[in-house]
Amino acid sequence: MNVRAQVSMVFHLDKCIGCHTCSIACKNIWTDRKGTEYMWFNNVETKPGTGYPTQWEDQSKYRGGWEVKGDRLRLKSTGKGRIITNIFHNPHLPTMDDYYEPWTYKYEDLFNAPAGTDQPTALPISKVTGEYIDIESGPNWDDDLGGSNIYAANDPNLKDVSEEQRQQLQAVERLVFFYFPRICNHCLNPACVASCPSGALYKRGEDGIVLINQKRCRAWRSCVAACPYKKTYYNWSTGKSEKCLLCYPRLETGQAPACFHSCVGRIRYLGLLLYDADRIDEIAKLPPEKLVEGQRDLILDPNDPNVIAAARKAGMPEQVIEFAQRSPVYQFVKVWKIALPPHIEYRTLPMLYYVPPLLPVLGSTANQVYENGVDAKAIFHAFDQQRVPMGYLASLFSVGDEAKIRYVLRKLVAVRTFKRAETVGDIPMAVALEALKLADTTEAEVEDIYRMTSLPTFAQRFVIPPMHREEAIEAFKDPQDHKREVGFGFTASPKRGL
Amino acid sequence: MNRMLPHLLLLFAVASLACVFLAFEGREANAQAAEPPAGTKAAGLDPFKTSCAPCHTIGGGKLVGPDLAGLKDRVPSREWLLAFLKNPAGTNDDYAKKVKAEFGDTMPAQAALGDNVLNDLIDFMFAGGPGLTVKKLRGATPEDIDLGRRLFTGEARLANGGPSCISCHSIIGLTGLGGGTLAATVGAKHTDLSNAFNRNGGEAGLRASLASPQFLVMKQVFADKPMTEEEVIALTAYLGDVSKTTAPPPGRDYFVIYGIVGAIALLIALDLIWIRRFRNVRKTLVGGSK
Repeated sequence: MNVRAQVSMVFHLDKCIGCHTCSIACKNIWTDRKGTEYMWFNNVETKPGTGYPTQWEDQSKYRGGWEVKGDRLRLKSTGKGRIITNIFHNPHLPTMDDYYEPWTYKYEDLFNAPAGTDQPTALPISKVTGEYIDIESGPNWDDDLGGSNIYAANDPNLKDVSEEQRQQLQAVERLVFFYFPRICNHCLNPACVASCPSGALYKRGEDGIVLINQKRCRAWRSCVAACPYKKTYYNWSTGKSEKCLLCYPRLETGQAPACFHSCVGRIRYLGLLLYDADRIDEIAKLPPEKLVEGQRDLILDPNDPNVIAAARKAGMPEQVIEFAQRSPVYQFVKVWKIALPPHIEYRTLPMLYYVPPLLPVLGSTANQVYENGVDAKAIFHAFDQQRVPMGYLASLFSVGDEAKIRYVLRKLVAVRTFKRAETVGDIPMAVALEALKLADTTEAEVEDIYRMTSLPTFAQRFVIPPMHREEAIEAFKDPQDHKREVGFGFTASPKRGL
Repeated sequence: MNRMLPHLLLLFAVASLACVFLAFEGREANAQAAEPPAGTKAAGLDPFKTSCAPCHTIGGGKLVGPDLAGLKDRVPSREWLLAFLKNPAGTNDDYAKKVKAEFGDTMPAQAALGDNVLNDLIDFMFAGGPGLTVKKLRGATPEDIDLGRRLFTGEARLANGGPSCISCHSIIGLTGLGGGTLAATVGAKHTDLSNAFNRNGGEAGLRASLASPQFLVMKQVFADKPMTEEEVIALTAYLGDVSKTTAPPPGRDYFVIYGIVGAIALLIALDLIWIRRFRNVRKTLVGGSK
């Protein structure tokens, strides 16, 4: 057993209101520089929709992630041999049009325009070329202006959904959407790290954060093609690639990453998971239907004495083990089993989990009485009737296995039913307890889920372990000297070439 | 002891002389290389062979230029000859005009050889070319024409490693793509008669030109890799043969056509090799829905 710690995340989609505050917080800190205008380390997608970059989930086009070839895992986009023919021109890179051309407006025209009979307007100008542009798409185009008959209808997750259900999705009365915030998943089996010909990408040993070394990056852009979530980006100004760094400078000083900290809906949870690094290869090669369970198996119980002993033996600091025991992510993923990984079929073993949303059903009025779904008496709807087909959620979070989604949603409904019976009382407790039994849960667990979902404090949502950077720095120099020498910003700004 | 002393002194003297000799030996060797002892070989022989013999003989008949036998009695003066060698084009007195009228104004300036070498050359020529033997090459056979063609196109390599003619020259109608264009088209009889064989004074002149090229680039290229006699005979025979046949009228420039066809074929091949490459997703999506 090779016990490692991973800073992991849970996004509770039922709580996301799609305000993009996370994206803006991230953008203001990390990607407001020249060459990074089009990058969104954090973006919020509207689903069903094609996302950013357009249709990133369609790996038959983007060729990200891994595939099993024989008894080996191999990258879809490249490999040690294959990279030789493609190193100077990678044929699998998204174009700027697939992201979007970043723009601003010529605001000075509002003030400088000569007097006239009509209102002055601020025309859009490209942030790349500085020329006037016609805006054709944006990073949240599905949300703002997109024609859903194009973007929503071509969501790759709809491929397994029946034609009838697709038609229903397009009907005006049945239109439905939910939000899907995305950051780098800091995967256990990262395709970006594996693809880099320069060895510039690495996964930090102590916390599993995946980073790009700006000094070693040579702009081959293999990581851009290899990442199935398209969360590494090429900076055309510095000639280096960049990605979400999970705000590690904030984590090292005990603060939550900016997108977590700023989240209005408080959908985000962050904490440690302990896992067995020796089994990554074995788990990543499992058949698709076993991947979700396999990844859950990989995560170790931080209260198990054997795991603790192995962690100590591996040199893990005592505090890290303690923080892993308090991790909210561990509860969501392993104990309650209501958080699922996005698109684990890409086999990168993402360490960002999502609680799938309970979505509305089609309401109707009959005899001036509002009815939701089938059962008029039910306060909470039957999720099988919800407007987004179960197959769609299964495609996103459980490699098409609807049973796993049903398990989660049943538990979420059970929590609501039980708390409603307890606090309002219009549902008989017997019905609520029956719901608990059906949902494979207990009163205690439901209470825990309720508290972590509705009433968590800042410290309960973000259980940030001490990073012990001083121990890593000690290997190179005196941590006290290091502390005095580093300041804000780049110590050496990234430049093209060596 | 008295008897030994003279022997020791002699030994000492010999040893000293040996040391002095050894010390100066290097210098003496250099001096020998620069100035060969008179009598063994005329100083002008080697420069004559490399610089003059391609176009001139001494008593061997005229080639491109005149036979230089009896030169001493013909030219106005030694000074005139020296000036003429340095700058033939700029010398335009009566005698020079007479020579140019007969042989054309094609004599290359030899000023680069330097006064010393030129004086050696004049001595050598005035002396009637002592030690100069003109080797008579055998006559060409029909087989030589074919060998010459293969040497020209590079199907057969030049024995001393020189580049094949086709690298820089072409002959109209020889191959589909033609040859190099660095130097002029040679050999084939086309609109004017300025083909190589006739231009270089027929068989004897062309043979001399090939054996020891005087052209600016060829001179340097073939300096260390001269053609063998057999190659010279064969190439001359081939170029002679080419000059007799009339080339086809200048037709299409096949090089350009082959280039375009080749480029299209290459693009198709690249498209097929990378058939599964990424193509624009969003534009296709939006465009397909309009």
